Amino acid sequence: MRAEALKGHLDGLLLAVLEAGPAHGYAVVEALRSSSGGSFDLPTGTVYPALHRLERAGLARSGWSVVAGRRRRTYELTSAGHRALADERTRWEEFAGAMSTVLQSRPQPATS
Amino acid sequence: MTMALDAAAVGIVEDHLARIATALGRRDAVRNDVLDELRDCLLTATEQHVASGMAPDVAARAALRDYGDLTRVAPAVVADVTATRARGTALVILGFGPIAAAVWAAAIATASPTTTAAAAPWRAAMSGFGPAVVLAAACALTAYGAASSLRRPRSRLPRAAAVAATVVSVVTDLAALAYITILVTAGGHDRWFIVLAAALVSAIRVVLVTRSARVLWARQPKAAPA
Repeated sequence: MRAEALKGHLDGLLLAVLEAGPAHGYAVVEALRSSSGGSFDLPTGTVYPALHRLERAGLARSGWSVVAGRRRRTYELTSAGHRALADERTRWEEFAGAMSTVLQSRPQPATS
Repeated sequence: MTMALDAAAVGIVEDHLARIATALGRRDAVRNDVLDELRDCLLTATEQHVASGMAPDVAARAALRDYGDLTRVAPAVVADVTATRARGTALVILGFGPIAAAVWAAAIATASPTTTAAAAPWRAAMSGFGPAVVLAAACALTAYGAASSLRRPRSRLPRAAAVAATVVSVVTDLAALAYITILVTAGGHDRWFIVLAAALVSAIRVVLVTRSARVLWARQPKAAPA
């Protein structure tokens, strides 16, 4: 699936991945890929700006550690991030429900 | 999982990082953090590919492909770094604002009557002092809010607002410093330590916001094609 198709949904997906616990950027990309059965195979370069955006918005926080001699940044959800994820789920369920209703409806045959 | 990678694989990753570094402009902590994070990402991806059986140099190139086409990814990275820098500038202006205002007010209020009388002609020129502080704070808040926004991640607003806040803040600081200097030279000042504190706070703020705004003001070069 192309990154453009996820426009507007990436932040919610990242919040959902981070709900499982702290993770560094590459682990987030891998989790997104595996939990979607390979459908969400995003360029890793697009995910980091989104993670930083979540942090600036106060929905995630990050910390640094040193692993094998290189610096590693790990992200985790804040309490505001947990609330935002719950809101995102509610919105998605409403949206998906409405979409399903419209797409699955069949036009009634015209009567004259 | 981490493993020792050969120099060729690391070199391929470092070449790529050098191109991204070019796109990010001046060296600062924000730029270094982004590059360190991407280095970890690309080397981790390379290690994963090596573990799955690829040769190290092939694995490094596969990791770069996973990262995405630089000409498409770089604008988002540059916008991200610019927003982070704008937020930092806004925080400096907002954080120092109340401190600077308090020491300026104390320095001006504690000047002796003869000193303030001698400096009377300058008072009219300082009538815009209060509105300028409010304007700088408003610009800084706009930069902070826009940089934190989820809805407009690529907006130019954070950078523009941070630069505007910096200009107003620096002009206000310099005006305050000039006014305090005039007060002191016009008739002396009993509370020299307050004057010194005001000058010090303003000088620190001018240096900090100018340094961070210079990075924002600089024209962002485009990434070299991979």
